[in-house]
Amino acid sequence: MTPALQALSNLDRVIHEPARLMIMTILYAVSEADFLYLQRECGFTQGNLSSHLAKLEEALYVHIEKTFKGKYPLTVCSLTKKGREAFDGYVSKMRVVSTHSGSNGLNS
Amino acid sequence: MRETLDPVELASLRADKHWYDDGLPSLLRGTFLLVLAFSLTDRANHQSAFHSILAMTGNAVAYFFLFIGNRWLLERIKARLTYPRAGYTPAPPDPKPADAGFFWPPIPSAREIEVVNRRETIATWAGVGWMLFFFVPAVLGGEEWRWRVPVISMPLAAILWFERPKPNASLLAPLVCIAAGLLAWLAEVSESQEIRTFSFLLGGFYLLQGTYQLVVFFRLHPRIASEIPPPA
Repeated sequence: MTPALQALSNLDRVIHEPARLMIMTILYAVSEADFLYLQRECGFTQGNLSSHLAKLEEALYVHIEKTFKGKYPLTVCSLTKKGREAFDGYVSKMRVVSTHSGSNGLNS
Repeated sequence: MRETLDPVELASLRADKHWYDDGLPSLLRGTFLLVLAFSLTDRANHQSAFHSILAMTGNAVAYFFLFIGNRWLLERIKARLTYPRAGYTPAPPDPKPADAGFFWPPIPSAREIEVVNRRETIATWAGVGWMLFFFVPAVLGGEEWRWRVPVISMPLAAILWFERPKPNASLLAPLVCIAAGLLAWLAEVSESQEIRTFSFLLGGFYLLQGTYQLVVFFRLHPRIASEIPPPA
């Protein structure tokens, strides 16, 4: 089996789902973000975002905390150390895939 | 907006832009530049102790909120106005003392193409630039240096250009900065009032820009009912 195919078979399925990949990318870039910010950036409905966040929280990739900024209640989400490592691993595997597909002339 | 941008970098830049979108940083910067302008008293006309104390207090407040306390104040205002409408993500990070070295900020290197490092480097340079702008004339006793305002407005404009929120950044602030420097010089006010005129012009611009941005922001983002109820 080629390294690219091997990388594909080992992809993290929790992150691989496009909506969750979007959430993980945003949370990777910022130290934390609240529910409304994620909803606006991703363009998801409240229910959709909730369900994806619940899956990420279940996998211990995302930490969700209900807090207050002044009088305004916030549901603040941030990546855990495990989540950050999982995202790094996912990205490096995808790089392997893209590098190998590029070297085989599949990028055109 | 470049489509080829790394998604992580793009998300980071959008978070930075989110901080500036509501116009509150401009509004606050404008307000304190105006406070500074009004507190730079015309020494020839106002020599009373009351005016001196008022000027010193205004100066201290303006410097504090321009350089140190602006994020603290912005966080509090944003908690009321911005987060309930557009969501919360923290402010772009402050430069770390370790990155800035003992005194001088780091020279950007290839490694600092990484978005966080680049952002911190720019923030450090911007901070140093603002400090130089206000403190160098004071230290040099700039009364004799007739060209100081237009000359200093050039590097300051460059700093404003580098620290601008991206993407969709405007060239307006750097241009206004240069124009304000030239106008302050051309106005032929007394030399001690040049910096006061410059601060007034630049502060007025930021105040107008911030107000416009805030009005647009309120139109685009009506308040959304919070998802969890406040405590009883």
